[in-house]
Amino acid sequence: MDFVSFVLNLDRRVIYTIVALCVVVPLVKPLSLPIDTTPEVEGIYDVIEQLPAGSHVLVAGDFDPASKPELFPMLEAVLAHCFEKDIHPHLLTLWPAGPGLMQRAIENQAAIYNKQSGTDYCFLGFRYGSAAVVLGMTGSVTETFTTDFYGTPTATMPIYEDVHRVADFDYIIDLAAGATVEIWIAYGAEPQGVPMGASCTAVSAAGYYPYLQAGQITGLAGGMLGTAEYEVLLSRNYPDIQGDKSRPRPTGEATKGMDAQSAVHVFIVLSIIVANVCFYLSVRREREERRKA
Amino acid sequence: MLFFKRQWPVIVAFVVGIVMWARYYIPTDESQTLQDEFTRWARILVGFAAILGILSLLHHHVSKIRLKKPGFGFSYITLAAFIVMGLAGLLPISWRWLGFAGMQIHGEGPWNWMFNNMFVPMQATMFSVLAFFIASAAFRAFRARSMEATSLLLAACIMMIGRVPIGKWIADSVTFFNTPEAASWLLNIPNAAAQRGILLGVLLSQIAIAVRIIFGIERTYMGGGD
Repeated sequence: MDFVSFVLNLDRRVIYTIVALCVVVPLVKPLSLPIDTTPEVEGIYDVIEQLPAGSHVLVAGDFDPASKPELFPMLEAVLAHCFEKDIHPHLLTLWPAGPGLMQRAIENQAAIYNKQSGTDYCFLGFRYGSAAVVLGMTGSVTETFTTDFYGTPTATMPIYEDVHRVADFDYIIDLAAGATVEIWIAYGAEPQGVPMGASCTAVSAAGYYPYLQAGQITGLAGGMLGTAEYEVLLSRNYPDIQGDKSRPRPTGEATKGMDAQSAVHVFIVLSIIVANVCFYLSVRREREERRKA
Repeated sequence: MLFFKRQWPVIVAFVVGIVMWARYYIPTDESQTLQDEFTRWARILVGFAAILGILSLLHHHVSKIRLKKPGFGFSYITLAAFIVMGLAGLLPISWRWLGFAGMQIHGEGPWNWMFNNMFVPMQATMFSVLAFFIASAAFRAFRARSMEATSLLLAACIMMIGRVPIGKWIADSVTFFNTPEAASWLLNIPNAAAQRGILLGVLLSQIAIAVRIIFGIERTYMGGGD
C-alpha cells in the first residue's frame, strides 16, 4: 500500500488517538501561548469595569454541564470581577440542569471574596418558563422568584431594597448554550433599556454578530477563547485577589485549555490539507489509469 | 364537547394574542399588571407541561420495556436514574441517614454528589466525544470537490487557526497573512451579513405564524393536522 492509499484508508482510531494526544499533552505540559484580547470581549469587560461599587448585575447562566468547559470559567470570571469591584451579582438560570453549576460557581467565589448571600449577592436558582420568567422579572423580580435557591424569601433580602425589576439592573449578562440570548434581548434588556452582554459556546457565536453590530449587546465572548480573553483581562487588571499580594489570581481554566484547543485545531487543519492532497493525487492517478486502459 | 376541542382554543389564542399585542403599545401600570398576571399563568402552565414531559418519558420507557423493544435494557437505566435522582431531590435524604455525616440537598447531600460526580462528567464526556467525531469526519469528508466546497474549506481552516492563540503566533511568524484578522473579517462581514438575512427571514416567518395562530388559520398546534 502506497502513502496516498494509506492516508485515504487511515483507521479512524489513529485519528482519535492523535486527537487525544493533542488534548492531553498540552494540558500536562502547557505551551503558554500568549492570548490577545478582542474588542468583542472587551465590550463586556469594560462595561462591568466602569460600573461603580454597589451596582447590580444580572447574571443568567443558561447552560448545562455539556457546555461547562466553555461557559463555567466565564461564569467564575464574571463573578470574580463583580466581587473585586463590590458589585452585586444576581444569578439565575432558565435551564433545568443549570442550578448545580451556578451553585458551585457562586459558592466558590463567595468563599474566596467572603461575600454573604442576600446582602452581597443572590442566587435565585431556576424557574420554568424561559420568556415568561424574563417577562415576569420585568414586573417584579421578587414575585417571579419568591425565594432564592436556598429557600430564603427574596422580598426580605437587603439586596432587593433597591432592585425591584429588570429595569433596575445596571447590566445583564447571559451565558448561553442555547437560544436564550434572543429571549433576554427581546423581553429583558431592549424594552427595559438595560445594557447587555453575551457569552456563548463557540458554535453559536457567529449567530450573535448582528446583535453585536446593532448595539443590542455591548460585547460577545464566544467559546473557550472568549472566556480565556476575559480571564486574561481580569488577571491583567487584578493580578491579586482584592489587592492582597499573598493571594495571586490563579490561571483560569479556559486559559489552560487554549493550548489543547490550539493543538487540536492545528491537527485538524493539517489532516484536512493532507487528506485533500492525497485525494487529488488519487483522482489524478485514477484518470491516468483510465486513459492508459 | 366538540366546541371545547375545536373552537375554544382558537378563541383563547385570539383573545390572548390580541390583548398581549395591544398591551405592548400601552405603557401604563395597568398594562404592566396585566402582563404580570399573564406571565404568572404562563409559568404555571409551563409547570404542568413539565409534568406532562415526565409522564411522557415514563410512558415511553415503560412501554419499551413491556414490549421488549431493541435496547430496552437502557430504559431500565433511565428509569432507575430518574427515580434515584428524583427521590434524592424531593425527599429530605441526607448523608447522615445513609450512614455519613453531611448536609442536605443544597450542601453536600446525595443529590449534589450525584449531580457533581455523575451527571456533570457524563454529560461533559458525551459532548467532548464530538471533538473526536468531528476530527475524523473532517479528515474523511471535507474535500475540495467544487468551488463552493473549496471556499467553505478555506473559511473553516482560517477560522480554526485564527480563533486560537497559535493563530497569533503564526501571524507574527508569517507576515504576509494574518489569520486572526482574516477570521475577524469573516465573522464581522460575510458571516454577519448572512446571519442578518437569515435572522430577518426567521423573524418575519415567526410573525406570519403568530398572525396565523391568532386568527385561527394555523391550527396544527391543537394536533391532528389543520
